[in-house]
Amino acid sequence: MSLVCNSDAVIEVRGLAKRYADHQVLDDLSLRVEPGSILGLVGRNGAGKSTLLRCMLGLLRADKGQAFVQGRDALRLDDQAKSALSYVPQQPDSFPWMTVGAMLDFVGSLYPNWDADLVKRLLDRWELSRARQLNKLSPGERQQVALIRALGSRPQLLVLDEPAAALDPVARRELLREIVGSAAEQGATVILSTHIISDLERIASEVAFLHQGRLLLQAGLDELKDEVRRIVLPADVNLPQERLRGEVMRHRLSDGGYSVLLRLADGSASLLPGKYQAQTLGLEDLFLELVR
Amino acid sequence: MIAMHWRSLWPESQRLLFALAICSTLTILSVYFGPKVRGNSMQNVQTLAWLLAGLQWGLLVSARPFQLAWHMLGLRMPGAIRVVSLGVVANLGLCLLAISSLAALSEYANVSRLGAGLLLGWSLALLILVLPAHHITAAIVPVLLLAGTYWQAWWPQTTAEYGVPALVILTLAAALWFYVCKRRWPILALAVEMPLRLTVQDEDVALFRKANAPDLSAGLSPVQRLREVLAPELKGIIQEASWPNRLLGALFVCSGIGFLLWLEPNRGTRFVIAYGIVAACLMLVSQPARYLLAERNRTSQSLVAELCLLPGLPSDRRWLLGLCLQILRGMSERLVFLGLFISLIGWNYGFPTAWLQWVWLYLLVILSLGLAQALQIGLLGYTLGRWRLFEFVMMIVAIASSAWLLSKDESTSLLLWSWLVLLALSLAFCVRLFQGLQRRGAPYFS
Amino acid sequence: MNPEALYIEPASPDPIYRQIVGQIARMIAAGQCQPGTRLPSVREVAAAHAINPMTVSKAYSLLEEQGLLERLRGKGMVVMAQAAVRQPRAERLQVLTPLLAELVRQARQLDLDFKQVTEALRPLMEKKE
Repeated sequence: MSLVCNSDAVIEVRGLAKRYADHQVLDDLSLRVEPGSILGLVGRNGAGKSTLLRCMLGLLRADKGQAFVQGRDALRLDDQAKSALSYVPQQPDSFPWMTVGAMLDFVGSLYPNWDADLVKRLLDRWELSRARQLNKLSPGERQQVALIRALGSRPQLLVLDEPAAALDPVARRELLREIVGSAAEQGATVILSTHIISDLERIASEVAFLHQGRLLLQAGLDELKDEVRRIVLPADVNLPQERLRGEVMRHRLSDGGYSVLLRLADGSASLLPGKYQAQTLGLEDLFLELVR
Repeated sequence: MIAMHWRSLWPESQRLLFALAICSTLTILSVYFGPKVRGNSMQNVQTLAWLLAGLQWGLLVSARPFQLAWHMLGLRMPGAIRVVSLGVVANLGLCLLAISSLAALSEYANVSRLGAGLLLGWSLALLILVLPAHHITAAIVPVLLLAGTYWQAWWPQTTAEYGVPALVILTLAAALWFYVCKRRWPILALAVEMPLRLTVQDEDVALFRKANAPDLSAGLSPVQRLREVLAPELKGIIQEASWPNRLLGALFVCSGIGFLLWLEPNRGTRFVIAYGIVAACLMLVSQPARYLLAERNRTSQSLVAELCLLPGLPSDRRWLLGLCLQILRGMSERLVFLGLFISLIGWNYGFPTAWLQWVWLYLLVILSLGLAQALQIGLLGYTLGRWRLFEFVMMIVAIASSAWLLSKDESTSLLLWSWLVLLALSLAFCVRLFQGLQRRGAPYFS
Repeated sequence: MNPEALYIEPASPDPIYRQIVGQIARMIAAGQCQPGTRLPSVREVAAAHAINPMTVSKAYSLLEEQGLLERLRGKGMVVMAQAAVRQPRAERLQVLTPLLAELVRQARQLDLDFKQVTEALRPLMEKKE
């Protein structure tokens, strides 16, 4: 087991496996995140997104496999590495006894790049009072405060677990703006897991689909939209047994026909008779197809 | 930057004041009672008081840096170790300050011994804080503590006998803390869980609450369903545990009592039984109130929603009665156990009968007060603040009554009668509260 | 040019960079963007629409390759002077090709032949705006 990995990926995960009781949450998962990219993790509930994020950051010890952050073992991060990253868990309930202002001041004293102006601007924008206690806030407000805390440290790596789940649409759009702002300004790498696919379609440069603890597909968002096509064939068409060129998967439909997902570099699906429409897919439809 | 850390290392001023109040009470008590105890035991009593002061300071105040560090670790924030070190050093500094200010007073002859006692108490508190927050730990630790103070042959006499265990325990606590943090078990250290139960605003750290799906099968009566919806917090131990667990629990309790009866009583231990345990009973009293308060403060308000909207729960009149009975059931179980425990020990130690009678009166009083507190806080929306003060006063009164009954043999009937009056008043208060709530009608939550 | 003038549809199967390229190309061809017009910076567009700045810069690079935009020092991306000259017909037709392909496919599905389609197309093409 090597302690250092010699790549320049921001996050690298090799062969992660994690089991809770009788449920295999992560199953031989390997993933790389390049610097400067915005990776969206998509998966159903229980697909292992939160577990994966926590293993990535060294918050959870996997049964098998390794995780690396900036080339270092994730379980052994030093203070310098920690100063460059920020993590917002799914239900942020840390420091419940502190007020908003006290928590932000305290956290601000820990990070070298703390941007107090950004924090002030976001607090005003989202109309959060500094004097309120964290355990008295609504879940959406708590999430907003946690996001402000994460963004305020101007991290190189931002890891968000369902950040927009409790936010109203205005706050969500603001959050996306802030994320792309920091990505633009300091070339931050962002990893976010979310159910809100339209948000991902806006800002993600790469998408990874998780299903039952496995990585189904990881590709650039533009490539996916350019290259992946779906063809729906009725029952009377004879589909050959062997895989078609560029086939990702096929599903048998209830009426006996097939739904075939193809990924072709030139975006054409010329193997099948022209009558059958090669449908282009939005990300949500693609995901639904993949996990069917 | 240090200034920022400084404020975060200490709990809210309310809790600090509470801890200081307990410290000063203990000091005053030891000054008052110390000379009353003969000979060498005076030193023991005073050292014990300082030990208890260190213990409660550690549990109430020193827990905060650990809580801070725990949350920081969970978010992968830098500087967690720094925060804990600063916190520990600051608290240690305060202990040393207390010791050095003690040296200025001429009454205390053996300053170093008292200081060592303080440190031992504080280190014990730290050890308790870093133990895993599991039911078993919580059950064993107090027994061990009690056994430790009772062990006559082992009762420390010199500074070294206090100081060396203090250092050993501190090292053990430090090792355990780092182990728990590094392993990142899903088990929280008590530091994160326990003090939160003592705070005014309770936080819902529901790691070990059982999955609370109400069993709405047809076989349950409405009152039983109400009981199911309310959490294990309010349930009696007998109600909740299965029969093998009940057997184990009974075995545990009997063996504990037997062990303590086997030990020879001495002066120092009387102190603990007569005052310590009596004061500790009060902690149990506010437990249902604190639980209801925590549920009320939860932003999800799920318990309130379930109680108001689930079908099959008792109707208005029976609802309130059911809740009160459930609270009484849970509390009385625990208080009865404690009462039996105290009575047995007291009888063995030769406490006067009047004292034994008083203990049961006392328990009944605090039972009814506990119910009143739960109803006021849980259903009427009162804050804990006023009740905290009242509890503190109750504690002083209880300790004073206990001392009075133990020291004098005549004119005890006056005290007993006044407590009987107190019982009647508190019962009347409860009944009035109940009637007021019934008149108000549902929903009872303000 | 105002970054808000662009219309981004994230949920569309068309990648965002392609949408931007298409829209700016059409705006230039229609004369909405005169040569020398300064386009908003990558950050401005990204912030206005909450989209990935890399997407915007990819779009701008493509437009630069196609010869529609040029990068000027100090001003950012600017519409090229020659862009005002109408693109050769082949290129203009190329923009329409995907739509025509779709038209053909739908026609086949509806079982309409070439003659019927052109007959339907004629009045639409001849209608004056």
